[in-house]
Amino acid sequence: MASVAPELVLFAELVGAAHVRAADASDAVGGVVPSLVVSPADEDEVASVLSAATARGLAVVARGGGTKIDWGSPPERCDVVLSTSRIEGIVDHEPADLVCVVRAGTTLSHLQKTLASAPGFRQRLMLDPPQGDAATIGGMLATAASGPLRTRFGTPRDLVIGASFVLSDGTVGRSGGKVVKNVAGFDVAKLLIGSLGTLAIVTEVAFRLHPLPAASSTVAFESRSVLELCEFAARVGRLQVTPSVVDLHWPEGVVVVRFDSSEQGAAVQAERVTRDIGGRNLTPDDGAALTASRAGSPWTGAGAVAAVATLPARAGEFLSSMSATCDAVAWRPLLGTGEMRFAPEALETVRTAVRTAGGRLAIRRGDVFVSGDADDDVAVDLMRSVKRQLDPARTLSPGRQVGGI
Amino acid sequence: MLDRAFLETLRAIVGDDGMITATPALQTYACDGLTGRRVSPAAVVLPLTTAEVAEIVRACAEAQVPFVARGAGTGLSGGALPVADGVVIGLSRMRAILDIDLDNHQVTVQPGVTNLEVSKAVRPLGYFYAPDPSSQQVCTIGGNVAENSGGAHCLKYGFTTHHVLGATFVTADGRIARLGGAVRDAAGYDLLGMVIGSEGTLGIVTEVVLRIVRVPESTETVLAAFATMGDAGEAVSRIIAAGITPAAIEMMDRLAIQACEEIVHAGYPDCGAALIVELDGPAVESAAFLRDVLDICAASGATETRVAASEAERALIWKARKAAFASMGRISPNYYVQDGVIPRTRLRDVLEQIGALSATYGLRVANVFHAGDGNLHPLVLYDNSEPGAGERALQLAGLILDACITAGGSITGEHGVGSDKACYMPKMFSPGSISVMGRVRDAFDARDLCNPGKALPTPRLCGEVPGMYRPHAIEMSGLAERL
Repeated sequence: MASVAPELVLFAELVGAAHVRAADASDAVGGVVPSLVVSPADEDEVASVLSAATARGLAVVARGGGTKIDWGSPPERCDVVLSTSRIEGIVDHEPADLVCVVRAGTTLSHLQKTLASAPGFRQRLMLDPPQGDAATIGGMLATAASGPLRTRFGTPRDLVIGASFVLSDGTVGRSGGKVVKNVAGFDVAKLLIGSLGTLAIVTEVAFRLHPLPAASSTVAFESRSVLELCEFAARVGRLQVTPSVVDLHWPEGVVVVRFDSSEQGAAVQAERVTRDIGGRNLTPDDGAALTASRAGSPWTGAGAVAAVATLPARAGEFLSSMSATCDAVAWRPLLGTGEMRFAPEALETVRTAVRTAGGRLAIRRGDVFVSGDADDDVAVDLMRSVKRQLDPARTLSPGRQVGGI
Repeated sequence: MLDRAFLETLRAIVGDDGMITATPALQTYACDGLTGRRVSPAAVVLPLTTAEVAEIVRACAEAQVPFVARGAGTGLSGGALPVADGVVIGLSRMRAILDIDLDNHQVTVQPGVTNLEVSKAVRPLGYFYAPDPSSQQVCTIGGNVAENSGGAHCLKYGFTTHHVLGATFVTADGRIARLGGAVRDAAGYDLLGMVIGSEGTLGIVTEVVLRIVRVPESTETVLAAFATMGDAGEAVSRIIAAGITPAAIEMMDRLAIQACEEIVHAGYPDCGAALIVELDGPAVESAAFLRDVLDICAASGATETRVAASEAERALIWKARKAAFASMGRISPNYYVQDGVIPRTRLRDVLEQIGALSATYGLRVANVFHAGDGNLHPLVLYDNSEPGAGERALQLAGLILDACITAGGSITGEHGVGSDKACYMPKMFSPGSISVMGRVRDAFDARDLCNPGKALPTPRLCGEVPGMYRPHAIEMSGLAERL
């Protein structure tokens, strides 16, 4: 690391000496320790930092809250961690429009608190990714992370209506806008969401918001049979109801169904589930307690964590085959997606089972990192082509995406 | 002219009955719903399979011949405008519903299947396909994917991009890729999300996996009359702000109501503005929200509210609304339809500006639009036989878009940029932003053969400095009605 000193000076000139420091082991990304941590203040400083890094052939990894910094393959190189901690704050919140614009380094919890307390309004961004408290908006986009609310509201791609970003050559761009309906121009943000920081650094995001519900009702269905749990969830999916959450938890053996609506609307939908197909209608306190006890699953506890997807109808068989292998599973049966925790040495067993079920797998925590199996060579070739166009020097998180992109 | 050998290559792929080269027949394909812009292609090919599409595209790529994919040709922005000496790849013969998978709430279709056919196929089973552009009787899923189509009910249900899970995709050099898929969370970049709404400039989808949605238990439809557009706009803002998400909120002004009444006789009240608010979901919930909506309308100064008491009454309310564009012919010899978006909180303000512009230009403007998501469709009425009227109407339509941008909105909510608004893009996006979009385009199609000249501005089309926006005349006759 003999070259650290001159680069420290260089970046100090761009962002101020107080905002550049030598990196240490705690700054490692996927086991790769960078030389410097640079914290630009805004979009312009991000542009100058990236231009300078690219000109010198330095690799840059963007970091927000660091909660998902290990998602994706380890970077081939990592010279500079670009921290978004100073690119922070809510730029605009139009509560009557259900739209907000927020800087990438803002934490999700700060955003949610602000949205819930706007005078006269109670709103929320309907995303609840794992480790959400410390997570930042930028990191959530880079990882396309979502949680239980995905069943009804989708993932970041479904709620982002605009984004500003900086390419590795310093080009500043924007796509979308701050209106909910808009088809002007290419939706470049779609490429950036889930890109694991390999294409651009997002500096500002516009979101579509939703009102906080007036009431919630929760139904729990318990069984020691994974197949029975999956069948219950599938039947919920066939009812004329609109649950926000349908989550299956193993080894607890429970499906949690939550309705967020008007007081009456939530209660009536919960009653329909218990009347037509079973389960217990929980009191509000019990519902909240159950939700709280399952929050964070399967991340709490030691072991590897994988994100898995299968066809919803094939999940019962797949999860049954995994019930002895996995220590914890949190599954969205209506979507066929979820996360599972298992001992690192069980990785090959899990992989084989996923393959047999025709599913997809990405390792989120463990000894080995896999950003997913590329299942189409032509698609991966297009992804390489996108990378060559937007980051030809491979400055940004090189090697973190599928196919070594 | 394309050389004979190249045309014979195409003919060998699609056969005689899949090939059109005769001039009169080619003219059928010279425009889409933006009929003021016409270019006859050199050839039209009508493939039947993904493999044929890929072979055609490969032949075009090798010969450096530009190609344009086309569905039903109902687009309103010239997105399917052919290239002279280029090939149109018509997907109308690829119209099979390949699979209905109720267990996984998915349907797989070819791109030439119409939007409504999807819902018709699954409705008896209790499901529907949510995006509902009002040309849905004729417009195709392939075109919907290209344009990221919405519709009246996208306020609640979202756009095409929220309902497509996967696609088979022919790249601009004729390779076949699978994007996304029936199983969620494909690894890598969201190429599928990038392709949806790219207006056919990145490649051609030849098979699409769609998510289908359970039909709601109940639907309530309200027709509310207001003295002014401002009052009606106020009601819309309050409904959204109250946290109610109706399935649809549509607005019509006096001129539009009068025109529709001439055709449909739906019995709309004679008023300054009418709102249609539709609520769906579990019966108890839509009933509760219906009460809230009625209260808000009253508080915003509604002079009258009616709740549809039967399916027939609901159908009549919608029939008048959907006849709006077609009915303009009754009150004006010519008209332009504009497509702009504003933040929902700015409705009153921007509608007043449109009124003022209308007065300044001495031209009537009828307003019919998706108020719930701020998507305006001002119809600028004029008489082409009056000297200079067409020019004035064009200028007025352009100034309305300027007002949308100034209000923080967009130059298009659902009709697309196409060839019509490409030169307007620099008013909304910086040169840097447009250059990034251009680099994405290059990543998919470095030779610029796949629907060139659409969606993004080019110096050749727009000059070095973007010029005054010039919308082209739209003749709606012959098109399905459109919201």
